[in-house]
Amino acid sequence: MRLHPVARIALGLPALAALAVLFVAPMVNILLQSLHVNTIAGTSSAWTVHNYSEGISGFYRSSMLRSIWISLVVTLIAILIGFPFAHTYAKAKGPGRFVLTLILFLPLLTTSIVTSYGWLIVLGRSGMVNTALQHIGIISKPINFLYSPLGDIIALEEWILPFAILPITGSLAGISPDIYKAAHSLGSGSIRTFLSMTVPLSRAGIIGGAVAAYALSMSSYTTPRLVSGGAVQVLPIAIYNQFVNVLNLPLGSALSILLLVVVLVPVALLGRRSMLAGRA
Amino acid sequence: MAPPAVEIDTVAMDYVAGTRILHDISLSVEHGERVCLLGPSGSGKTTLLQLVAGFLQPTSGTIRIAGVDQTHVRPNRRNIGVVFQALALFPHMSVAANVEYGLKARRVDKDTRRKMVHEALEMVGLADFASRLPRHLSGGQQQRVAFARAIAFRPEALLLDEPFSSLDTSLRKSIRAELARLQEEVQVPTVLVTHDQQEALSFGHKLAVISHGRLEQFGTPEELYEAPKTRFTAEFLGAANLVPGTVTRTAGDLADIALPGGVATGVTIPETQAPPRAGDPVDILVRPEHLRLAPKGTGTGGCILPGTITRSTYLGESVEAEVRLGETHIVAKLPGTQPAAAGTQVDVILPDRGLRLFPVEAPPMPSTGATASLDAATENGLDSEVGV
Repeated sequence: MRLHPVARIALGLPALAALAVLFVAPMVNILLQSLHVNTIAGTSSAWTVHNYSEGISGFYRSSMLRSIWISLVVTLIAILIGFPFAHTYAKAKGPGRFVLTLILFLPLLTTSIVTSYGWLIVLGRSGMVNTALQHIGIISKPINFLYSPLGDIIALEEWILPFAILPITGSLAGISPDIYKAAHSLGSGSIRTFLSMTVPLSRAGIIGGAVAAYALSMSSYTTPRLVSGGAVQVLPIAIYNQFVNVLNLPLGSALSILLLVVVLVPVALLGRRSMLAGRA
Repeated sequence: MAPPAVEIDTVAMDYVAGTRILHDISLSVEHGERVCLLGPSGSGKTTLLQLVAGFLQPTSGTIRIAGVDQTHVRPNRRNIGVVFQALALFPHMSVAANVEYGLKARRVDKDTRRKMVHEALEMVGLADFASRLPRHLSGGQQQRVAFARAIAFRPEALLLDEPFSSLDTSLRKSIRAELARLQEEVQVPTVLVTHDQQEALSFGHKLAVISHGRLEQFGTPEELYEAPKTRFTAEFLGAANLVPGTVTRTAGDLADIALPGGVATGVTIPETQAPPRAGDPVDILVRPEHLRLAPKGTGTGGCILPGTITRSTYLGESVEAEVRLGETHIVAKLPGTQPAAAGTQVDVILPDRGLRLFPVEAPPMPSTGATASLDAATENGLDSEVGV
């Protein structure tokens, strides 16, 4: 059906209006807020980038760097674990596929609050993992999973993995079996075929999965809050503290904008490449 | 004498245990020869090609390439080029990289590789397109890239799996002719899978007609068209009239057949069939272009049967006449004549040579009904799962 151009724009108006009110306006507000400083007398009216210089130095810089390295590790592991799963999942049929679908979506069926508390039980000092490892005799003292980046990474991985797996599965499933047959018939063994066909032809999916994992991990608050109890200061926790505990709204706003930039810049760069790869 | 380039020796294949999709097929491809595997979809012809390529392994039997048993050799260790139905060009690689792939995998050194890629592309007339991506080429050009890729590494055999099916009719014809010319240039033994009898007749030095996983007949196009051994081959290849009659006398491999309004003498009994006895119902094969018509009462020579024209169509180079012959309708193709009105009484003159008979298939026995329907179910399953 062809619509009149005016009608076409009109149909998009409700969504645009909702976006403007619910998303753009608060973002603009945060941006403006971040350009003032908090004083004893309240928010000053003078414009300044003071919050940003504070946000990229000292305590907040280490929070941000911590956020970044944790997210990069989460992303790397998500791709390394996610790719083989996606490879199997893309080829699975019948009951096998159903079981894999269940495994894939199970972590998403409950909120991350519930699963985070679950990890407390599993990873605690006298939790299942430590008890088991001590029982077998691999370790003599319990490992500090909780209140450390390790626990955060494990718990983040649980619910982020599906978001990394799905795009990879999609691009793997899109590769015709004939492509592999053709490579084999031309004399290519499994390793060469994997490296020259499977990986480049699923690149768009790998990039998409990595972008999703990185962005979700960078902005995750609940999981690190509960699993490491705030002991691992990542940027979202620092932001939350500024808004809710310290009540320094301008600094919290500046940190939010910085987080947004750190997430969006790689996403934009990779997303562009992924789009180009998708067109290739 | 050198062994055949490709030899398929009593190859049988079970899709799952107990479901046989290929029954002891034997045929060979000589050096430089083009063989077409011809059959309806689900007949097992593509499966047979996959066995030769090594994508599948037969349940029993042997596949030899240049005399060497390669039945259980993996596809990448065989030296066989394949052109796929959907071509399967590597979309992320340039035309040159596609063609180079097989040479790289065989660790041919860089200079030789470059030279061979250029030669292959030159041959198919795409040397100027070396750096393009496949999707920037037309359908016919992609076809030629697929061919260049499959022969660049000098394979011992070339397998084509319905590679023309994605092209439109006029392009298909010219690409087919070009491929035949290129094949003659490189002299690579070639197997083409197709369900298109015109394609098979024009491309193949030899045809293998396959039906329900059995090799019906293997021979030159002339042999198969003029002297089909089975009813299936007769009907699948070209237009065929089957006129019902009754055996009156047999002598050796010849029989006399009573037809509606006349007797045909010296009808050939194909050697593969159990000789019929007097009184057995049979069908006689007559090709439309072998029939002649004459005004009623003026026909001479051969076996003359009284018929009535029910329809005739002017086709330019010939007239196609539908004639009622007793209970059956037959079609005659008559070059250089004019159409006649429906209802015209004519003498139908059968040729006195080249008539062949096929036994009338017995209707299924009630007691074996269950088995028959099971067979039918299996065949349907094959059609949907193994076809194309």
